[in-house]
Amino acid sequence: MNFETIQDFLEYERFGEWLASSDTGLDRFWRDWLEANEEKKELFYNAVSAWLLIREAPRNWSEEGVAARLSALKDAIGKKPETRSLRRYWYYAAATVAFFAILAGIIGFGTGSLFRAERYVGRDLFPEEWKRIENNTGRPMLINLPDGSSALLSGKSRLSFHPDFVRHQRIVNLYGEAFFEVVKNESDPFLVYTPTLTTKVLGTSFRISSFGNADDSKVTVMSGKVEVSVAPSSGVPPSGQRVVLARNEQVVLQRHDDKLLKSAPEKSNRSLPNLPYSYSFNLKFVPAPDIFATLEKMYGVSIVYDADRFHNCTLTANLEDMPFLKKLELVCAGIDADYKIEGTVVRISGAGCAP
Amino acid sequence: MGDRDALSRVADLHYRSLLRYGMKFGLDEAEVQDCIQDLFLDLWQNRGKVGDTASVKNYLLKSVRNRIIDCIRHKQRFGTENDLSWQINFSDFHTIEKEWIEKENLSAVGRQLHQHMEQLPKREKEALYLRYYENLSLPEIAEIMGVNRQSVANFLQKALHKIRSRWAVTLIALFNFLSFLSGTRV
Repeated sequence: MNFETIQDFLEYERFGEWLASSDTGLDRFWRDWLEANEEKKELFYNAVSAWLLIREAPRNWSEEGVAARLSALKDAIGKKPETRSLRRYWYYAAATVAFFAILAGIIGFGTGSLFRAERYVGRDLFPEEWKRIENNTGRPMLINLPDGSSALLSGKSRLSFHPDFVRHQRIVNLYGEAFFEVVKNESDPFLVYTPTLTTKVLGTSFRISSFGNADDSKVTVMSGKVEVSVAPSSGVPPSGQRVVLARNEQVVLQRHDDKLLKSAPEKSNRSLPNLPYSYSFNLKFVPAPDIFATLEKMYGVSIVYDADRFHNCTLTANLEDMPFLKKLELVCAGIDADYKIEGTVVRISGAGCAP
Repeated sequence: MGDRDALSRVADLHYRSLLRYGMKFGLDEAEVQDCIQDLFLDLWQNRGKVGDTASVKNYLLKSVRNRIIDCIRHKQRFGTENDLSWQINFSDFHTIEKEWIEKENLSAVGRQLHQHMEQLPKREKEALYLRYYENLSLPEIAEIMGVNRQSVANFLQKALHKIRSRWAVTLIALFNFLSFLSGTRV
């Protein structure tokens, strides 16, 4: 065997075999070979390194998670073929694998008919002891939830959550429309109940449009993963329908037959012009005043800062899908500033940045 | 692949290979597992149609790759195959038990080597992986990557040439020539 290139070694069976085993015979073979081929020593070691690097350690995954997915997959293989649109639902129901809930944005969209949920009275969305917030201002209202998640509640909408939100369970009841950005917590799922749909955060970030009782309900995922199921209702037996949605996927709950149907999200029909469809928080050398202006527009707050001090500060960071407080915190950390929130006014202080 | 048990066995046999390969493209674990799941469920629904594929593993790798391209295209809206990345994981060489490699030096030098490796074009890295990790033949790699056989040969040759020219100096420190060459290990 004549070895002229690294490839020659890698292609040679006894080379990889030797590196992967503790076969003393192969050790001897290669030692003898090296003694006989002093001049190719460097090439030999290059080949060893190439082999080591190509055989790099696999990225860590959780063996338990993989085994669970594999076993659920094998169960699924046994089932009768179903229609494609429903396939993922039962699979996810079968696979009780925890996905990493990282950050999430949700929009629940209502038609404004807040009090016409006769058909969907399966749950009391506004229990007495829960904290209730109603937005009658006509503009979106920023609500910082106790766990640091934020919700932008639209006009004519209301939501409620348990006062001891964090310890109780992260459940938000929504009637109307809101945009949520949810703090990552792998062990504590974030749930949004609307009269017609229940949405559970599984992945990174998403948007939900859940129309009221008179219209179709809709969930649109911006990125990441959520699980949507039909809420229990009085007149209709629970269908157990579940949909897992990934980025740029949408599901519609049709009123006339209570079927969840997947479809592509339409890009027009933005009922909420002030919602963050178009703002990018993937910042690259963005001046602080621009960031503040975007935050003001998106969350309807006023940010007060010393323009002279801060106009030279820039920030490069990806703040996509983060709750308002987290964004604010990171922006301030990035430009070495402090913040104080008074109602809807945020005051920024600090030395600022030199030109 | 006519029946349920056969497909389950195929899943058992290749699931981790597919996951390892799929995760190279920079998607997260759950996304890759979704791709693999969809692939197998499609195979189940359309069973019979892939029965005569010569190499099952090869077919699976290729299908997972295509699904990942779709997934990335979906995420980036206008993504193409060119947006595929190829992730190199830093190896701590923990599996290597050869006494003649000085392990103390490995992590420092290994990091350098890792950086060199990262500089290789992604298709060269992918070809290296398929050839020397998955042990596939050139025609098989060509089929998976959707290029001709000569291109695969070129990827491999170029990559290994670069490995040789860039790494020559750093490498010497890695190995304990003496103990190995003098035969202290029997």
